[in-house]
Amino acid sequence: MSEYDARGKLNRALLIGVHDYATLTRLPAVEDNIAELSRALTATDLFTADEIKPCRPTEPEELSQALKTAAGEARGLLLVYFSGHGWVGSDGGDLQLMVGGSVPRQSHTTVSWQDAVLSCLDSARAERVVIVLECCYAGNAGGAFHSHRKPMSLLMAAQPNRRIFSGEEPAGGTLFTRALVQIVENGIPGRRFVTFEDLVRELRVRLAGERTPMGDVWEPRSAKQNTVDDVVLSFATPEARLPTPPRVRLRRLFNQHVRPRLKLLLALVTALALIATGLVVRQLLQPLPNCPPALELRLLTAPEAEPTLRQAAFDYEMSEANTRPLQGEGDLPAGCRRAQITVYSAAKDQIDQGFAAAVRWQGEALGTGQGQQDDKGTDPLYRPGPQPDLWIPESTADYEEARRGMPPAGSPATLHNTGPVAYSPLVVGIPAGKRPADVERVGASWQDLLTGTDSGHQDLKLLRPSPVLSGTGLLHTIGLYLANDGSHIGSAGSPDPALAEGAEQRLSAPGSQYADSTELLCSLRPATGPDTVATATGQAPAGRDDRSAPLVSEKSLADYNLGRAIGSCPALGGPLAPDDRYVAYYPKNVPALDHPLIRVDWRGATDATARQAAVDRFADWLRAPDGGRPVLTAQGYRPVPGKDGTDPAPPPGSPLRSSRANADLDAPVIPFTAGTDQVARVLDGYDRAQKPSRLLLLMDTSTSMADDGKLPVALGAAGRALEMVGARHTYGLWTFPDRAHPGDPDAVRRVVRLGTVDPAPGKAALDRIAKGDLVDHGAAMEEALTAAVREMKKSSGSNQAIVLIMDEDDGRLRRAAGVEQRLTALLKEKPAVPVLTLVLGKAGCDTFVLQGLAGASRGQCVPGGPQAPDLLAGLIASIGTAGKEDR
Amino acid sequence: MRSPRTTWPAAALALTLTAAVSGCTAGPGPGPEKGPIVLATGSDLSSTGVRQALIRAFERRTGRSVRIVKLPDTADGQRSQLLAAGQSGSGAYDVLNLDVAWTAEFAEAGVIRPWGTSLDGDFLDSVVKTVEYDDKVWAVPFNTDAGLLYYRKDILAKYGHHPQPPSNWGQLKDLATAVTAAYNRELARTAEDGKVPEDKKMYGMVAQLRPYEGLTVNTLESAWANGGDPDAASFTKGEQVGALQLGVADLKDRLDTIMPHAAVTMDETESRRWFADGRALFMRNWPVEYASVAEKLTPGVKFDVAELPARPADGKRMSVLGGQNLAISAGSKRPEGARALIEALTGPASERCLLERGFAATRDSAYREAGKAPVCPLPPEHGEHGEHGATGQPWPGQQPPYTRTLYAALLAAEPRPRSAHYQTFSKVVQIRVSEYLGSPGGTAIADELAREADEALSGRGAQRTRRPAEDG
Repeated sequence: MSEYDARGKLNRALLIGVHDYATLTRLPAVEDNIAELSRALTATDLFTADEIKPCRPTEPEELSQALKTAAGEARGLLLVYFSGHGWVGSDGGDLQLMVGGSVPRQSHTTVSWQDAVLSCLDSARAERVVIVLECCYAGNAGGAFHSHRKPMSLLMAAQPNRRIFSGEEPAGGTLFTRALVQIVENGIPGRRFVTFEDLVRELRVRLAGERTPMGDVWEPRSAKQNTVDDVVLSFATPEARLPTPPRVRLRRLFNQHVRPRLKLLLALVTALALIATGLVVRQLLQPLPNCPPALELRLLTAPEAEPTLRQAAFDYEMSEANTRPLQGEGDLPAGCRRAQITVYSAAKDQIDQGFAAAVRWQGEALGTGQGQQDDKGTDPLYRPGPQPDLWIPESTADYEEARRGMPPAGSPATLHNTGPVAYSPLVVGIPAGKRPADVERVGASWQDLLTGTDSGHQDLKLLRPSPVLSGTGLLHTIGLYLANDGSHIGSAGSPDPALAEGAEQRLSAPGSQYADSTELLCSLRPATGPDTVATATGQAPAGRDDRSAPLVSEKSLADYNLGRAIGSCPALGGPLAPDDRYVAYYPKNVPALDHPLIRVDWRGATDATARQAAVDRFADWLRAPDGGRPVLTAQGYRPVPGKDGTDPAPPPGSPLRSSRANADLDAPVIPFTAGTDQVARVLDGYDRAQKPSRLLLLMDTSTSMADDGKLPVALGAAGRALEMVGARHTYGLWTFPDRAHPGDPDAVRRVVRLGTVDPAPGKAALDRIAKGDLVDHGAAMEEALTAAVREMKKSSGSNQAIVLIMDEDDGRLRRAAGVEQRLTALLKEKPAVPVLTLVLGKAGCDTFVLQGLAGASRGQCVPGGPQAPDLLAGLIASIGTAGKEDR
Repeated sequence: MRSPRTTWPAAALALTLTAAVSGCTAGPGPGPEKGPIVLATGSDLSSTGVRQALIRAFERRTGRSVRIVKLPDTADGQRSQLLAAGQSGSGAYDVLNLDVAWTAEFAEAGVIRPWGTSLDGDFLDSVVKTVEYDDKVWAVPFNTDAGLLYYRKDILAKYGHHPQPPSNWGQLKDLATAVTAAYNRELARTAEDGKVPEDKKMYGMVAQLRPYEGLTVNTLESAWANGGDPDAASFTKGEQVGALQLGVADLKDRLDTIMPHAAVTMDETESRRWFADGRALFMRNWPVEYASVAEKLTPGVKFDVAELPARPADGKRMSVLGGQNLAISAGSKRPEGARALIEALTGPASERCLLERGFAATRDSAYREAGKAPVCPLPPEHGEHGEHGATGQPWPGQQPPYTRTLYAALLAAEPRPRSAHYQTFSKVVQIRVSEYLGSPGGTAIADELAREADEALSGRGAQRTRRPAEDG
């Protein structure tokens, strides 16, 4: 074995000793170690006095810096010695060297052997590295000891998983270092020099009489990387010392006298740089100035996109993009967050109404009350909520639709479309066991899909979220009407009314429409727990009958299949069983959800410039490959095209790549190309395809409704229902019990005539109820409902329904015999009048009576809660759908 | 934190009611300030009830009118709108009704103006902390709140052989485990098929663990119960990290052993519903839910409230302070009117009214025994339509049954970290702790959570250079 001789080279010895600890036991003996070892090393003929660098760090940075300096300076031998406390993780790994300010288990206060020390030494310029560790758990350093190319030798004071008794010895250093010093200083009898191997052997001999705290022999260990050679650590010897060879003397002469002058200039520059670094470090160590509150941005979106955008917004807040200094904006202390983002969502129609009534939105926000005069009952500041600085609807169609509803001039809100941030193709989910033959998953037209799923073939129920309430529903309708035969949607084509009607025929009867696509999927989830919407609506989940085919987005369907949280359904333990999953079919040339980011500028904002710039920065980040794009794709969205215009595939890790998601990544992303007029014409076509509908609101106004905060929920839901009425969708409002006939259970108060078009009298009546127009008498629900059903059945129209709003006190104790049977029989008679019940109170829909009502009338029951108004709105939206009721 | 659903028209009801009872007499002419005082609130001010009645009484007394602007229905939405509008220099609001956690941020952002004078000594010391920031007073405490331990007295007596609530969290867990096991065993014996239906099964405890502000509150309380210091400026210094780790681990342990899994989706209302339905032995909740629970369970017999369990080291029973403060908007053009309105709404008599109608009052005098306390000048309101949360049964002329407990809890309660960046801090806690609650457990999250919490509170971004190690 050859021995490496570093004499005359540029060597360094970094001697790190920590004896003074803020939170750990002090180690007084360590204080002497450094002086003793320094002295000994100068006697080795290897190091000159100025090549020995003592270091007593209190902060991890000091140690790292000293290590870096030594690693950069040494060209020959680099000796690194550490004496102090050591600490390991519970699995014995990841040895941490403790400096003065270190606190156990707070990794940022300690120095990692593996991550900090070794990685630094691996890039050292020295030919050989020798490390000596004297600390508790020093032996555990062997496990992680690695080096890519640098020859390294490691001496560990003890075997793995041992603490050592050390640090409190009397003057002269610790036991281990004392032994080390003696060997290095005096040499070994019979040897002309001391190599690393010699040192290890000799130390073992000298420590053989000592014990570790565990009671076994104290045994220093060693390890090597990238070398089999030995290295000389000292030329001290008790024998006659040989003269230093001439080549060594020459080299020493050059290194000590010539080289420093050659490098004088460089040294000067280095010194200056070091001073500068020092100044910067000092600057950094000073307490940072306080950050002012960040600019608050309000991000409005659709309920479907809210969870993903919430996460993206938070990542942005903490990202470097939001904290790095900007040119021209030096007003913020370094590192402060510039923007913070609050994400909230609302149903599409409410957002449209908000923008249409932007004057009132602004008026309430300013506190001036402006816009109250043309109050159509909308209260945009209450809902949708804050005035958005940016709005990310599900598709450009939503944006076009909102713009169409805004006045041509004079609106305090201006919308700027900055383009899409993420895509999700629209799909039809086909039950895994009901896949139509001869229909391609990708590339088949809507026409083919409609045929393949009709009653002559797979007989599936197509379920679409409401085009009025949901962006997914609107875009699906556009696809159905305009890309029916699979042709590309131009910017001018008009929907064929017959085609629209035909398509609407296939979209199912009451109950098929939901406020949004995720709630629709939530309602289809099999084996739902007691808290989910599906069972709460009092019906067996439709998913179980295996005939439902939801019209949703690829992302939502993947979430459903993978058992992720969807709508108000919490995440399941894992993916659904294969038979419970849906297979995504991609109707040809149907545009994908494109989630455009719309910047909203509000007139009169004094910080408009800063606010717009902040929105634009977030928009850029959201699309950037190293910014928000991975956050969005990790949630199952398709990325926006790169700068070269190519469609990037979803990256590895995207849920779409899971085979259980049942998505098909070959399906292309079709951009939205329809014009504003086309969106309007599609909605007109949708309206025309609806049969006129009639809605009867039947409301319990007994005083018990005022308890427990039930009344506001009831009135909110009834108000939401009134937002759904219009020229072709008329309504009436009845209340019970009747103040005029308190004793008559059959009496109802016909407050607004059935067939009314104008929502105003209904709203006025609800206002009166809110002001306390309640009747202090028991509510005879079944009797009142019987009267209502009788009235509705007088008409032969099939598109009608009763919305019953009540609490648990339904007067059953005073009910005459036979009322319930007669009501049930009546409900079963044709034409069907579905009863959509909102029940407020503890038991929810979980009673036989309510489940019986829903079953007999083919209606549904919705329990009171925050989602109740929107859930009810979704059910009401489907009353007018042209579908065949009895499928 | 809470999202009350309210109705604007209901406001007028109180007006007509109170006008009918007490007669409406106009006060002296208006001052030099023009127009109604605009009060922006997202809370239940605009529904019927005591706060509404107090505003109407002010209008009658001073002759000034108050216009109420209804803000978004979620607390997050209210904060976002008020802050952003303030930053945009818009807003002719005069009085802002603010969540107690927002004071620092709104003060720093220049959205509210300093109150100018110190508050009188009658306000509870702990509550006053929520309006102080940067050595100034920024608002006046309107109503407060402290977390209480609701417990099923009847079931504890029957199966636990003692109707008293546990004194610390360890005891609570043991008691919950033993009592629910005995209760459910008996339920199974009487059931037809020998199985307890899920909706009848009794769980040990419910709390608010949905990722929203309620989770932050429960996390802070658990960290404090494990030695955390509510006044510590940093979560990474000294004992704080350990307390935080023990706190979240305790929370997870309770979730995994004595709570239903659905607790991770519960807010105040949902947890109250479980407790009132007899599906939980203990519940952490605010006193405003008392009346709602009392509609289903007989107070004092079937259930009762106590202070939160104590921390063993010093016996302190620290809860997070909730509630709302009233502040004058920085842009107010009617500051005198605003000041007068706030003073009226937070005066000793008004605070007594609040206490009698189910809110937690912010003044010490309100908690004195009837006869020694100020008299609420409002007439009893028959057929009062409850506000969401504080409903149903007001206690006109007397104090609610939980008053002594609430008073003790308020004295020991502490505010959340008072920082201009509290909102981001809370988001960090919600994200990290809900991840942790949903994980198999066993990993320590406190180092990372504490570091991120400090970063959030500092207003700066994540420091990516330091990768947190697993341990050691």
